[in-house]
Amino acid sequence: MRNRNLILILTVLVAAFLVAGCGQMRQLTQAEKDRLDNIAGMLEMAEAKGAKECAPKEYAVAKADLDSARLECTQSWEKCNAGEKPAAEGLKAQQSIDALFKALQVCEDKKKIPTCGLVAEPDTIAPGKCAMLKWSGENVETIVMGPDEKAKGAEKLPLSGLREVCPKVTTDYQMSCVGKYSTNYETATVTVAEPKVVAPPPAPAPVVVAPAPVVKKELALRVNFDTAKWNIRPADLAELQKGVQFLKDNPGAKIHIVGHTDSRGSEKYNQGLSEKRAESVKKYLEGEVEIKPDQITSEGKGESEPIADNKTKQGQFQNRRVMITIK
Amino acid sequence: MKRPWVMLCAIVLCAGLVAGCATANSIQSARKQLEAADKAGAKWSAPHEMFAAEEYLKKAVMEAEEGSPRADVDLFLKKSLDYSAKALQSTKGGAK
Repeated sequence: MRNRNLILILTVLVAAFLVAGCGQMRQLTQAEKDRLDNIAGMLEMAEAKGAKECAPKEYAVAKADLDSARLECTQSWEKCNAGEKPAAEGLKAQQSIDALFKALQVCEDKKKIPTCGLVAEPDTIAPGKCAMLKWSGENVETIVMGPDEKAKGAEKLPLSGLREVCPKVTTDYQMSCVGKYSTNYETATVTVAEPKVVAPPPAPAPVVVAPAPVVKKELALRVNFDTAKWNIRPADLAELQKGVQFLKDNPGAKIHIVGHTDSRGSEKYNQGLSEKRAESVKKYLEGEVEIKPDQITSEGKGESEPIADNKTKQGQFQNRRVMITIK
Repeated sequence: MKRPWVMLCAIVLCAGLVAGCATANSIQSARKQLEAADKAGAKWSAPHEMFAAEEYLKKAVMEAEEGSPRADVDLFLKKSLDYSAKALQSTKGGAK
């Protein structure tokens, strides 16, 4: 009798668990399926447009919310269809769409690269004289004097302006142009030099016909990259075009391209990234001007040869570079 | 006469505790894998995978806190673990 009671209780418990478990599941209606599939389609389109790369966080949130919405729909009709009512807040499907739109917006904003124009006029002055710094920014949120926009006491400047500077010695003036998602840096140098004394013309020397000196032509260029990226930034196209023009003028010149990274990330990853950066510049040049395969070489040196301090943002930016030598 | 009830209650309690601990352990191990990927620098090499692993882990924790069935929690945990593994892999392969 006792055993029978026990079996009965156990059976009831198992049945209750089963019912509770099955009660959670419901079949999706066609409209619900369509709605979720539409969001999945939008996600695919956004991925094709590069949202995964340019807005990884927002894209991941949208995807996770969509999966969460699918689960929610199998659990409750009310939650699944709340979107059809005006008060759709809290609905996972709606959250997914919101995150997706945010991802697309972030991608659009990231295309807007902050750029600054900074010039010193004149760029060479006599001791005790002054020069004028002129600057203006595009797609920038703030402009800060100095190489580190987050440094304590960093001076914020208007988005365009003029400033008189009277350096005693040759000075580099650096400016951080802070955009919504990235920062660019500009430098203007004011050289302080003694004015040249105009010497009287020397007595005419006897004319000796000498062979014309051989002028060795060489061009060194540098382009920088965004973090973990190897695509060429629009801001660097002008620099690369100098190389293209040089190659057009000197068709047989040899080109050597070396890619570098900052110190963040593993050594192995940075090695691969530096090679991709070098390769990306090589492809650009090959696309612009005819280059024979034996004329061009490229290599990556990873994080092994920094030229600036990897602890500061500007230093990292300077280290994320490709050096191009054409001779 | 009351013994079977006591026994039954004890079994149900133990089962509940075991199930609860198992979920907590799974969440903990997913979190550890995510941290390992982060330490290896996956945020730079595979940002999307890292964010996805983080988001799915959040969903798993949320489902667990809401008392959702174990299968629902596991669904998100598995995705979090998969993304963490992919992110970790990207730091080893150096190919992004």
